Amino acid sequence: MSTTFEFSFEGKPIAAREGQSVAAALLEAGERCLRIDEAGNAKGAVCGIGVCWECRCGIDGVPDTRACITVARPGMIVRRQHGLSPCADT
Amino acid sequence: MAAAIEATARGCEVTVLDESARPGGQIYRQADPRLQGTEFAEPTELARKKRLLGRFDEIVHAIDYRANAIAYAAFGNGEIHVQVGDGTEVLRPDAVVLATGVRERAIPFPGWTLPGVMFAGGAQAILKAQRTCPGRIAVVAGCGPLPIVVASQLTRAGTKVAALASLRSPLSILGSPGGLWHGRDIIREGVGYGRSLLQAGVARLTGYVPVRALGTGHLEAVQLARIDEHGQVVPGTVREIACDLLAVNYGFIANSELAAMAGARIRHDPDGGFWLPETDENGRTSLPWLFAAGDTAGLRGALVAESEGTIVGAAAATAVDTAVATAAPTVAASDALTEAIAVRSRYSRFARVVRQTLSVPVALWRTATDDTVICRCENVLLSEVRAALESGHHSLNAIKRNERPGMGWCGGRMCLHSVAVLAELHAGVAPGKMMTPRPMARPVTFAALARQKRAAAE
Amino acid sequence: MSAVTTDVLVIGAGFYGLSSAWSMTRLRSGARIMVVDHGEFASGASGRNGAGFRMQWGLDLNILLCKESTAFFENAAELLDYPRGIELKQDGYLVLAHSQKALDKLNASIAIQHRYQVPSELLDADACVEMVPSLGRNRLVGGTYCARDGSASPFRLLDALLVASRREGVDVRYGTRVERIDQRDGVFIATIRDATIEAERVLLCTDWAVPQLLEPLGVELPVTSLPKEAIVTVPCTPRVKPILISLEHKISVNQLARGSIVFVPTRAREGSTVESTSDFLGWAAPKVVDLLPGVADVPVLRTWGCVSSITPDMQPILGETPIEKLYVAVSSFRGFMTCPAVGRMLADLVVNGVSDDPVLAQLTPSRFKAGNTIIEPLLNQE
Repeated sequence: MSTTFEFSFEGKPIAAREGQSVAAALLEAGERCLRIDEAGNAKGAVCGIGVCWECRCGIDGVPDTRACITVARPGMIVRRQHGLSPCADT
Repeated sequence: MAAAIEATARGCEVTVLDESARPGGQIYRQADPRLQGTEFAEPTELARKKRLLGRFDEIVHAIDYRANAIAYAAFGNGEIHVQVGDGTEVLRPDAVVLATGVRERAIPFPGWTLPGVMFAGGAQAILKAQRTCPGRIAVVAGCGPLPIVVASQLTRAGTKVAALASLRSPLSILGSPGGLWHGRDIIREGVGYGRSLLQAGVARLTGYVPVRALGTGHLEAVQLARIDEHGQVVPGTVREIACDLLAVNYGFIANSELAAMAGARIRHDPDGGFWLPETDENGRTSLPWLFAAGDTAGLRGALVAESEGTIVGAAAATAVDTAVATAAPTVAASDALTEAIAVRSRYSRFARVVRQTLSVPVALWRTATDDTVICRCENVLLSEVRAALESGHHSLNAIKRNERPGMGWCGGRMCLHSVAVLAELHAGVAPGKMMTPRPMARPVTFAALARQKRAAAE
Repeated sequence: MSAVTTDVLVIGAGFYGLSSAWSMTRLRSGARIMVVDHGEFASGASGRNGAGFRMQWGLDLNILLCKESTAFFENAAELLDYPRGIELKQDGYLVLAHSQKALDKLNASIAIQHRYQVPSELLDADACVEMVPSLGRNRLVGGTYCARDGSASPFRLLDALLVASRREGVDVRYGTRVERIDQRDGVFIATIRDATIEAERVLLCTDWAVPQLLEPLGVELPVTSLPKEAIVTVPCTPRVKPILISLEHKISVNQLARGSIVFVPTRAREGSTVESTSDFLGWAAPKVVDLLPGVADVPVLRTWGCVSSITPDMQPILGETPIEKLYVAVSSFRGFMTCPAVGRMLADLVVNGVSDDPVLAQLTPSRFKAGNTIIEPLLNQE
């Protein structure tokens, strides 16, 4: 069994295995809504390979990070983006 | 990988730009080595993967292999612009082989943007590379072999597959026995996948497609139905199935953006990748320094792609040697090349048969209603695309300019082929001409662009 | 060879062409008007620009052109009977100075603007940064701001002009390329591929390409093309409220209502293609980051090309050529923001045969022969 640890998604603890992507861990935990777009639509992972950008989240303060190609790490802080990209807004 | 191996064997200095963290592309996607578990794939498929990855591993330290390298622009002067880390670099190679593969073809339908609706290949990537079940109860749909394979792999992994809806019966390929013979090893794998589905008792719905995804905030159920040749739901055939995952694949679109951006001539093939660079049998495009190998040059599957990689790698190496003449130079023979040509020929015949299963009737784009999102990134609805068509904006450039589909984060990868089909469907416009290809193939920040290295001029 | 006859032939369906055509209909002269364009709707410069408008100029004539045009934009939906609206955004323009010399220019220009009641004000560097926190302070000395300046959607305005023109009976045809113009018995003959159009009066609104149709007629006009490229980012949270012009960087910045930010940096270049060049982004990105450090981490989504016109004094060329009833309209990269006023003036001139508008008189093609060049201090070559 590979090591498991936790990261946080919207303040909730999510279990992940070493090497697992953020999106995969979230799917395993039953979390499918990863983002709310400008029109208020809930969005989740679609292409699974980093091409569609639907799964982009704020990960450890970095906005627009694709959850499907980002490997989860212990203590990572993942937040949904709502509406327009914050793009490291000052 | 095959092109890099062959070009190296012929004495070239090779740089590989891989957008992933490790080699393998999509079909041979490698999981993070720390993840345990299986791939749920057929053993012969795994053996092919291991063999090719092994061959690449032998040369990877002798070449400039760059992981997480995003080629975001290509220009007619032969420059390739790439993002690596937090900076960008301008490369001026003597020859370029585009082996950028394909992405999945989306067909919009009501509710398709709900979280839980995924591409079948995407669900498979989560399964294979992440060793994770992407859902608990799945409906798999689409056409061609991929939905069958994915449904089977999901079943093996423990996801309950409530139904597999196929546009056509898989037995439809039996109509071309000659072609099938060349791919008999693949067929054997297919039979293996089919057996898993039988054993799990997965419901098979032939002639059914998803017509609506339902749920509040996420997918809760899918409506499948038969549709007639006009794209209308056949009355009495609607089946609603509760699920938390809909994995759908309707074939593939070639990732030909860089070729188009560089100015290579593009041809239209609706089910073979949609917009493809024109290539000769050695993968040479209309630009003497630019080559395309594998599915980027036309959808033909993994085995053709691998053998073609060798062929095109040889041709590209020859182009470098002969300082790129306008007429295609003769490629020197080698055992590897001779074998690759034979393998490609064999599997090409099989690929032609499989291609037929990936043809999708244009009528399927009638499942979208006026309030269905066509461009997911910019939230452009079908009603807006139709308004543009009705105002007389018939070229993709005009529709794009006026209503903005294709102007979002994904660069039109999810929607522009649909806009082309919708223009055909609703205004009789021939989908041949692509919109003007422009940088960027991927979004890159100003900061990274400002940190740009240029290779010294020779 | 089929022949069509009309009273007025306008060549070019961009802002100048359609605004002129529509303005002509308002004169109710009964003249038949035809507009032809070689491309599709908005396929030329009119569909490739940032569609900003500002009254902050240093020259009376530019202030007047833009003041009249701004009033039109503010009421365009009503004037053109276009309920959809033109996506008008009036959050002002902030024109920035990064040297004392530039600030002096701004100071001088403000005095002239105030003569025409343009509500512009001088800001010091602190006030500029307070207004746009993403701005870099490097070398910034100050700026001027006018709250009535702004932008609109070029597609909506062009569509509004098109619909209104057609409604009034103007025959607008796309995909129609005029290959040459000849003159015979006091009538102009425009040759299309397999047809001709005969017109009593011709107005050339093909901007930088105007000389191409004039040459065979023996008329020279000192107009050259200036190819430019533009950048658009992903839609992001609001961070640049007014439209920015930096005189030093030669960049304009416009964050659209939907969040994308459009940058148009200008550099000296030759040619007339809209192709993307390989050294553009490497050249432009450091300038953008220097001007606006707050956008350094915003991803660039796309670039595109556009061709503007350049005249010896960088001012529009409007009026009658030495050939009677043959008129030209060259925008010198300010087509959108001047099109309502220019349309009105040209309509007057073309339909009535004469105009007493003093601004029009200054912009006549014959000014170059007389050695009259006009200097506009607040040029950004935008």
